Amino acid sequence: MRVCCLLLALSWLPSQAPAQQVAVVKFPYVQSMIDASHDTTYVINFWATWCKPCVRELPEFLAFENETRDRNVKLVLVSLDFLDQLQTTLIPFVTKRKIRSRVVLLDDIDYNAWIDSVSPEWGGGIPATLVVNRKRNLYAFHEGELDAAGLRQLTGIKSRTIEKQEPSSN
Amino acid sequence: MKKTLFAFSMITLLGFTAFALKPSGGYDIGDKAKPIKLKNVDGKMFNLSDLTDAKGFIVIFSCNHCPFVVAYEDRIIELNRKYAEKGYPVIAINPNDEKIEPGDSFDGMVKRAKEKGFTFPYLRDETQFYARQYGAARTPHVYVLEKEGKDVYVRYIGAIDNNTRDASAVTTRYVEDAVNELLDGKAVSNPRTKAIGCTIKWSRR
Repeated sequence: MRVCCLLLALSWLPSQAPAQQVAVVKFPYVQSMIDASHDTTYVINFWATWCKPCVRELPEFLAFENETRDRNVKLVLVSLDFLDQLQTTLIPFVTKRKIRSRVVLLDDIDYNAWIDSVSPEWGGGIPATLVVNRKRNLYAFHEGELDAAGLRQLTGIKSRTIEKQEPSSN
Repeated sequence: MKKTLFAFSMITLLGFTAFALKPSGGYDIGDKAKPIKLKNVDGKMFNLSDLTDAKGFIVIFSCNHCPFVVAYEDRIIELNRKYAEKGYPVIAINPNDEKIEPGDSFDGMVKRAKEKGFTFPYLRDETQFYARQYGAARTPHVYVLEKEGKDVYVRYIGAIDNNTRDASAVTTRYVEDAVNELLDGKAVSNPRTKAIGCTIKWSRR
């Protein structure tokens, strides 16, 4: 019934904002990205719609994914919104903002069972970002807000456009 | 210590924009804690040392709006109902900077305490002194303190239980287990968990 109503509601939206799929996942979903052996750099951002710094940093992440698409960078926005917020808050949020990146809701509420698998350094606050690419031996974690420069530093990927503050030797 | 260094070096490395004052240390299990003295929502000064009958305290860094706090509010009330009479009352503290989160003003706290019918002190840590001293980072973030003579010692740090969203699906009650063990005269067997929640809104430099 709820799905039916949702579809009905979404059919009213303009066609350029298609319904975003938000899968509900358990921690093994995240673990599989951490363990992946192919050459993909996963930028896994833990966030929630109610978290102001998370929402603030979101455009930087979306822009970064766009900019680095040809470098096998995959942004995955892992929402810690509660499951009962999926239809009421999370899906409307990603639809309204036309987020095309992968968004999942991590409904694995026993946090202490998995948090250390992301990083032992994670105290438990969001936003938190894990950059991982097993093939390139890349594993970098950051708890707290990131800006574009911080994100580039964490992934080790420099901007294509040479920035003024960078030395000319680049 | 290693953790602190790591966190610090990460922050230095990244040098991101909106850096705010963060706690540099905080308490570890077994540390002697500073007795809390702060303004309560009833307008009076609350002094932890005045509670001479208590065996210890369930200190919870909290706030008014964080969804994780809201999800736990009824359980916090229940904790106090269950454990105050056994000698472990709840003491809630709001350390958030109201310039960053206006809803966490003292007036907002008074309102929230009234709405929810808090039966425990809800204190304003305006200078964030206690949050820093204790090393609280998120809300809700629990410190179970045990009294020995006139001093209080940290016996548990972390989350309330293992299911934020659904109280009926909880399988491990970290705080209750810790307090029960202390009441039985035992050491706390699981003294540390990670408290997932909203980051404390630290005052900007």
